[in-house]
Formats: sequence, C-alpha cells, structure tokens
Amino acid sequence: MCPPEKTGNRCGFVEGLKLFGSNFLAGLGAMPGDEDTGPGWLAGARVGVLLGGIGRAGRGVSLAARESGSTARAIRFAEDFLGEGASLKINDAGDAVFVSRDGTRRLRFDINRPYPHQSPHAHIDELVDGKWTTKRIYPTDVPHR
Amino acid sequence: MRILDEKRDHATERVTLFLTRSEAAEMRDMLEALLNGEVDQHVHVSDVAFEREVTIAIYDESDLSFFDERAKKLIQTGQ
Repeated sequence: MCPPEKTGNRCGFVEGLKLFGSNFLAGLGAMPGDEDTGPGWLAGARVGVLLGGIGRAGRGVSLAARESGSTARAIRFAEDFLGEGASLKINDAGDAVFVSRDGTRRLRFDINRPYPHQSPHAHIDELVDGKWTTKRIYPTDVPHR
Repeated sequence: MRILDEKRDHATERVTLFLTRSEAAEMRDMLEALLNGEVDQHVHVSDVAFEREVTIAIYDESDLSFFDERAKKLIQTGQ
C-alpha cells in the first residue's frame, strides 16, 4: 500500500501494476506479444517501476529501451499515451493517478480503495475532441466485480 | 438513488454539487459513457487536485453482484 503522505512517490503505481500484467497492454489498445510467457504481474511490476520515472521527471527518452518483449511494448504505449511531463497524484486512499501534462489523459489505479467494487481495477480516461472517454481494466486473476 | 458519504461511511439523503463547467462537462460525458454501455457500473469525476471526487454508479436491484458488500447494503437497505 502506498501511504497518502508519500505524494509524488511512485509506490502506488508500482504496487498497482503488479496486479495488472498484460491486461494493462490490452487496455491501452495493444495486445501482449507471443513472447509474453512470464507471469503477468512481473511484467506489470517492471512497467510500474519505469513509469514511476515518467511521473517524476518526463525525461523525453523512451524507458522501453531498457526492457524487452511485452514489458517494453507496455512502456511504449503508456509513454505515448501520457506523453512527456506527466504528473503523479496520490489520492487519500493512497492510490495513484497519472495525468498527462495537458490534463487530457489519465491512468488511474484503484487498488487500495476499489469501492464500489470488490476487486482492484484501473481506469483509462482520455479527452477526445472535447469529450471524455473512459474504460476500465481488471487484473487477469481477480473477479471482474 | 442512494448517496453514501464515503469518509464517514454514512448514508445520506441530500447532496449539493458545486461543479466548474469543465467538471460538469466531464460528468456529462462520463454519465453518457455509463448509459451507452461504453463502461459499466461506475465512473469517477474528480477535481484537478484529486482531493474531491464524485463516484457515480448505475445499479439494477435485481443484480448487485458487481458491487462490494458496502454498496450492496446501501442499495438494499438505504443505509
């Protein structure tokens, strides 16, 4: 769990992505490649660690170069989706929300407080042509409720 | 309609929302996504700091299986 006082810390995101694995890729419009044979949570955790860097710094250099397979693909998709200069917000439940610099794209992980549902889940929100679109992702190994 | 004050874990009957225009537009879009089935069960609308938030859920009393126990109790008993 990521304590609320750790605002700016990436721990909520890392903990969150441990749960999502390849469903994170699918939610961003990509599908895991054939090489994705390892546990989904492991790939997710590595993506989470690297995306923490985006939230803090927005380095302008793809972090995917340090990874391979579906992990690298997930990073690229997330980097493309959020863009440079994304910020990390931690809500009062300690859950992480990544927001693009212009505020039109968000990745949100409801792990500590999945209310009104039972299972952790994520939201991908995007403002497209002046209208908000949204989708929700569940980890592969939890009931979708 | 059911309203839960999440912080106090307390059901309530009346609530007034003061929204900026952009927050209202986002709520409209999220409600439309719920009604159109683009996303199921719930959406969130937050302020820019993510300090205040409204969660909107659509429910059908004949099938509450998608909700957690607190939400089920709120819907079934109003409390």
